[in-house]
Amino acid sequence: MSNSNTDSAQDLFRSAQDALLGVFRWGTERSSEAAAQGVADRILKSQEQAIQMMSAMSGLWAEMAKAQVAGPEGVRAYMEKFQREVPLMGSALPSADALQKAAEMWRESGKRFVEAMMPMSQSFGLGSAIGEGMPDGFREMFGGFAKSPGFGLTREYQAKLGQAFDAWLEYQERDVEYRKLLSKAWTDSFAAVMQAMADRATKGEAPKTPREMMQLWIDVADDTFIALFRTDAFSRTQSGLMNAMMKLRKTRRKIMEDALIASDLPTRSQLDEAHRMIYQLRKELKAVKRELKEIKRVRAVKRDLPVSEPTTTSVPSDEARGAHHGG
Amino acid sequence: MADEPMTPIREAADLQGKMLAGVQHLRKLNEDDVQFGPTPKEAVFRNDHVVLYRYLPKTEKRLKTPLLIVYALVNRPYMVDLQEDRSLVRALLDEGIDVYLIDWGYPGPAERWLTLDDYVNDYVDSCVEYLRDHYQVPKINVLGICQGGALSLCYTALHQDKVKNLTTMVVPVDYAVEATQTTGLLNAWTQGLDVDEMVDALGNVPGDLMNFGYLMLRPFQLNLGKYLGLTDVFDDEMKLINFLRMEKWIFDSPDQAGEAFRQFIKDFYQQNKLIKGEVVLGDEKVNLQNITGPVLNIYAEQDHLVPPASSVALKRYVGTSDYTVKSFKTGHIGMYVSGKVQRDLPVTIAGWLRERE
Repeated sequence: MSNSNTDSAQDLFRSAQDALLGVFRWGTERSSEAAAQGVADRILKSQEQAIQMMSAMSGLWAEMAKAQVAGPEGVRAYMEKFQREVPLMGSALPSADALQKAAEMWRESGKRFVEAMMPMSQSFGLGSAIGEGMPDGFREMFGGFAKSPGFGLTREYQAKLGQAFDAWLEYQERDVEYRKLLSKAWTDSFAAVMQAMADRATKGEAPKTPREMMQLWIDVADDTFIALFRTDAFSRTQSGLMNAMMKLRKTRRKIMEDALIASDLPTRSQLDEAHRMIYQLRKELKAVKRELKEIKRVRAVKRDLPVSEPTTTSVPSDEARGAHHGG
Repeated sequence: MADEPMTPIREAADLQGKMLAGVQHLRKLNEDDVQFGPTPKEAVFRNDHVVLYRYLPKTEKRLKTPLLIVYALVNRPYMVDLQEDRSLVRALLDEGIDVYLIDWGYPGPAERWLTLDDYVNDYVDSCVEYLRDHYQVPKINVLGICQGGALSLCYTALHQDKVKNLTTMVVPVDYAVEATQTTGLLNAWTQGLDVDEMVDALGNVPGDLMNFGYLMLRPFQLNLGKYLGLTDVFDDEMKLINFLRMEKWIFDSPDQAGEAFRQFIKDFYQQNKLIKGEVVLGDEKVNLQNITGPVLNIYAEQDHLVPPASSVALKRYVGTSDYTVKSFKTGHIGMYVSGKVQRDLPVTIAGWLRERE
């Protein structure tokens, strides 16, 4: 039973992680140009993960229920054992083995969490990020491509490639910085959860149910992450990643548009320009309609006026034309 | 204490039962069961993709001046009429107010070039003009909510002659207020954002990207804790549908028209121009001092999206002498779904409007 306790707790955490990560992936990948099938799969996966999480929790509770047949003493023994074997349940002094298991679980979760934060990049079609191992020397060796002047017939194309490569390198660097920050938050949150468990156990207030345990984990982890989110370093790093991502997207577009033009296909820039013209024309049309309406109104007023009244207003004032529309 | 070991067992049994019932409910439900916007309404005016809705009145004796609701661009406006027992619109109708709502629609590639000037001086203004003409009144009442409140402030500052009474609800005004433990993250996160690069790269800004940001404000609670709480209502079909309805609203987020987004982030969030009188729409500066009509400013005391300090700052910048502030002990979303707020908020708005009718 002891193994099944630990396994169930780990299942529960994994399912919770899956659900959490699934939401991150869903929230970010949905904006990509993923195929409909991919989106459908994600929907099913999200539902499945939610059910899995609840199912895992249900399993954990069910195991506890089995202890009931042994009577009150059996239940008490079970709970003691449970708290000993599943360190996140709040043992003040968890065993070394249990602590190691918890730390492994947490490390794995952290790795998966940080990986899951990255599909934002995939959603923008930037491909998967490389790991933390990208050496600084890599940039020193290959960076600065955009600054190298090209030559020959393809010099313009080379320049675009160089810019894209530099943008990609910058993006990778920002990506690594962002991951490092999140990894640290994950580690810190583990320590904070353990500390909270120990504090509560000392006071005799250790979580008594998986639900309480989960809620404590959520609250403490949130607080730790929010503390990080409040720092200037995080704002700077997150903005840096986002800005690098956008820059890469733009430079990549330039190269893709060359390929599209070569294939006789319209480009995003051309469509944007067409939309801009439609927008401007629509705005001008509205302004003309307003002006026409005002002219008609003034004419109607004039028709109703006595002959002796002055009728010099042939052009409506700026105010009457709705100058604030600017179109 | 003797009962303590039994607690998880009881929870286990409860959960098992709820799981079984919940799975049965989920099997029966489909997307069409997650309905919203129960109050009957009709489209009365269109301007491009923007639609003005009129909610059908429920009482004979009504206020003479209609109320126009200007909602945020970042979410769908049916939050004000979410379901039968959570409908600000319905409660306002019950109070004898003629209610109109601007639906901004879902901006597509053709809307990528829309500016804040278009939203304020074309879309809002054309709806106001429709109502002035239809009711034959010189001024109407405006209720601006969240980002829609910021747009309403701009509109009123530029067209006070068309606005009788302005109500703002959970509206950010000062975008540089000091962050607290629970609020202000959005302000901080936008400071270093290169919004020019962002709009140039993306065109319209995806609603999902915005949602990702909102979910990161409390990553564990909003992505995990909330679904853990689902186990509490899993066996109750009505509560489950309510939960799913809220999920629908949260993730049914329109993309943001690129140019309008660019200006909103730069002028409002990054440079705090609204309170400085430096926002320019069309060729006019928006000066909040020009708001001289009655203002009712409502905010949520536990708002994690719009810091209360950001909302209450309004008093320092408007030119009116008829300024009322009212707060509710709830969060941003609680303004629409809290039972107590749903009971008190419409009465507060209606009473304030009635006194100025």
